[in-house]
Amino acid sequence: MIAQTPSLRSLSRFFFAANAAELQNAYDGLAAEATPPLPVVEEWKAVEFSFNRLFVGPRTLQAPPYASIYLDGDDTRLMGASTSRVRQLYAMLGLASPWQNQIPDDHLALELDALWQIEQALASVSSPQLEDARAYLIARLQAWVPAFVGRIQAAPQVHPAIVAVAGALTRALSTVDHVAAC
Amino acid sequence: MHESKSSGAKNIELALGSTLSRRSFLKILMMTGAAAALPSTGLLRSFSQEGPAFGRATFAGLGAYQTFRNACPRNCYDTCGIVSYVKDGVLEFVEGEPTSTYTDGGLCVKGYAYPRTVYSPDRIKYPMRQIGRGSGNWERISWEEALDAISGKILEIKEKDGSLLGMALTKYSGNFGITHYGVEGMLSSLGYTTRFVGTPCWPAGIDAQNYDMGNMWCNDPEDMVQAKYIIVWGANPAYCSVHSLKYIYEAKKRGAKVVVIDPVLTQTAVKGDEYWQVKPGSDGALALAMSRHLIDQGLVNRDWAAANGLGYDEYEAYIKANVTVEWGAEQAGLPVDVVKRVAEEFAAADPATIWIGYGMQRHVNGGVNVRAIDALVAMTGNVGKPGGGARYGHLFTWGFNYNAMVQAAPEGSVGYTGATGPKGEFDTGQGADATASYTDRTFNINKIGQEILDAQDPPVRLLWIANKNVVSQDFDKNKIVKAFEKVEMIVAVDLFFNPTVEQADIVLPTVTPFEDWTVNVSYWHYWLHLNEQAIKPLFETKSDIEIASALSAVLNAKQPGSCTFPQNIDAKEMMIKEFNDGIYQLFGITSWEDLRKGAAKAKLPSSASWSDLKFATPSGKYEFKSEIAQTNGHTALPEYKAGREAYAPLRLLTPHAKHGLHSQFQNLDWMHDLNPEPLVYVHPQTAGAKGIVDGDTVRVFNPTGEVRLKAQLTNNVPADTLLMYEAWFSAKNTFNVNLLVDDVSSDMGAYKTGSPGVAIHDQFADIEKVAA
Repeated sequence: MIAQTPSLRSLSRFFFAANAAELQNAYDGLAAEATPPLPVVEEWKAVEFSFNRLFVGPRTLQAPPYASIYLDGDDTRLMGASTSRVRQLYAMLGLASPWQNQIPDDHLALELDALWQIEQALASVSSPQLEDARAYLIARLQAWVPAFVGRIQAAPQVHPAIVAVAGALTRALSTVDHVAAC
Repeated sequence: MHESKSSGAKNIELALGSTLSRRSFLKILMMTGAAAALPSTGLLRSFSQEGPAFGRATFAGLGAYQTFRNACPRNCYDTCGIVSYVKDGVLEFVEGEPTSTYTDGGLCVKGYAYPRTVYSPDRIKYPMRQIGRGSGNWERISWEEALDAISGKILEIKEKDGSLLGMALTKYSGNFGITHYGVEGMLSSLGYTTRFVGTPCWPAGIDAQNYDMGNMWCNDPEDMVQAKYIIVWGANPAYCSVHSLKYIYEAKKRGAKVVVIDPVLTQTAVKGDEYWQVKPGSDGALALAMSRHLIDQGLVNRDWAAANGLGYDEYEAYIKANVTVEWGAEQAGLPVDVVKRVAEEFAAADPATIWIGYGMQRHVNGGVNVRAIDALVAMTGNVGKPGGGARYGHLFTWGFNYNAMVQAAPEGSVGYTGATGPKGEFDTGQGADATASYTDRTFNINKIGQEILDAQDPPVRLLWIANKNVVSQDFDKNKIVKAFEKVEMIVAVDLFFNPTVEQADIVLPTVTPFEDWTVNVSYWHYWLHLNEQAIKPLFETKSDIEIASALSAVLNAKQPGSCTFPQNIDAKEMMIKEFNDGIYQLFGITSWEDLRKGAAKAKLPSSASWSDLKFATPSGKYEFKSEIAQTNGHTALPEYKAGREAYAPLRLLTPHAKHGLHSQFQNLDWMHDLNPEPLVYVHPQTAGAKGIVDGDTVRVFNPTGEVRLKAQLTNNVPADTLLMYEAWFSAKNTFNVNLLVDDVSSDMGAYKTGSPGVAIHDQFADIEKVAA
């Protein structure tokens, strides 16, 4: 019934990766189920350098992976109102980030993780509350991820593997939306 | 948010707005077993897994603000106290410290922007290693990996050279918190190293005041309200010390006259009663001319000079023999009658004061020019008087323990055996190595490029950069970048990716004041501010002393005894260890914890420095004639010294900007809105002769280098002068005034700070229009 949960998890892991090995692991998980297939990566260091230019630093980020940048109308400040909102959502689910106040709660990987956890739970229990939370998170992600993906696509020197993952992210969110609407 | 938002999403939105709804939502999830079905094996963890404290503060919806006391440590006169408002662990906004009459509840625009520094998405978040310096190819590494690489290099250097002199430190004023002297402490704890010593800022004036009075010690700026006459000479408080302006305004309101002397019609100048546009570097000649007029008119306070001065008669004789008012006025580019009138007014006012700016001593004759101005204040009897004084700066309130700074070299360390001097203006001379047979090797902080190029036996192999954007702020950028090629490993500790980080092999992410424990004082006002940790450090950032401590642990694991810096430190405990009874007594507090209630001000016997007229000179007098100055290669009297000869058609001035403090703040969006791009300010007459109109792209060039930027025409600068404000704009903007500023020294500074200053304002350049 919920087709895309493994890819949600791999996507979350990809965007949270700290190095080339973690990127490769997450990418392999995604590649297993991706249509269209993800490009074959020959040099993982090149993906890592591009990933850091986009999402980590130390230079000005090409595509900050934080919701508030896109939702709060203030693209140069983290920890905005929508960061606080998603933290509250996690709390409503009895969840919290172990990196609270260190990594903003609205990091893409954390929001995807929340969605993945909800999908997992809904596979075994029926809960209108979780359905609501799921609908909210999907709407939220759909509200900011397109702008985020747009920045990735527009970034100079971006690695094709990351553009492909961004495409998989877009597809995963449109698929869950479709499923949710059923 | 989303047009086709479902009713489910709307339910959640409603629930998010109410603590009660959020609670009942979770209650239902728990009762129905839905909460337990969440796997919690991903990134987010459940409350029950992680224990009672985890996440609950958020959920409880505490909502109320916690307040913390902080201080702005960015090398500003004002060193403001800050009250920080934190909600759910997030710094929401800041305001000025209301308990300090100096900060008086208000910050400057830079200060109000602080949350945007803390939460800038551009902050350096993790230790990172650049694969190929300048390549832009960065890998994220753990602290363990970073410290392993650095400690490996340190041990390799020791093995290869038999000493650690191949490791060098350049550090300055990016964070003046007292615990940040732990950077120097870290180097000391490793052994004897190479230190870039001195200060780019104010050293010539420091030496000058030391020759004259035995120390640099200014009146309390708050007593300017009592002045009947204020000359602001080469300072621009409207940009650089906004909290001081209220005292000048109040003095004016009480009838004081304010004269502003500056080559540029600054925002301070327009607030004065009278503005003198002087030729840069002519300040000594002007002060001598004013002194000559006072002598001629019998307006010198001879009683004061006889009772409290040394060598006044010789000074007067020198002036009579060598100086005329006409000559001095011409040097300064001013009408003779105006010079005479203001000299008379200054002598007649009681008290009268001069604020000596740091800009006017950034010249090859800057130190001696400060001495001539000091003498003008002294010979009118205004030194030691509330509302009077030759105000330059002070270190009167800086008597901390420097516990983090003072570290012993590891046993058996080998170092330098040549002559050495003070390591900067804050060197208290109480280093643990005072009696050791070895010392650090000292290089001129203001000539980092040349020093690295010249360094041998050993060369600089490992350069540690902290609290300093060397490539933007130090002089002759091209030379620095070339010199860096010689260095085997460069480690930069910083908040943002700037041109220095661009040249680093490893960058270590550091904290803002809000993530740190320290204590701050000013070199201008007399307030003491506690800086509490208000929020958790973002990402993997660490303070300077936490980095030192972590490095020590790694080194001692690899080679026991190789580093004496304390391991596993607690930042708050380290802050507490900086306090002593002297500080408690001076500020009238019984514990550092008193500062949690607000700022404390030094209990001064008088608002005036030198109020007992016992000077710290060898004679105990105000030394118009200083033998120490003479011993150090200067004239014993503040005699006229010519400025630097022009080497290009136009003078180039690169003073402090309004919306930045050296490299800091200008990269923030708020500052960008106010000041989006660098400009060179050109007088219309000069521009006209070169066919330049407002907004043209121009090339400003001299033998040191060139910059390209837009021209703005203004009558605020003299026709023979170009002005561009120093600033680092952003990672995307390569503008750097120090492509044009060479590293020629000012006359003084070596005596008290270890190296002479730099003649930043004795620079020249040409300008031409280029295709945009």
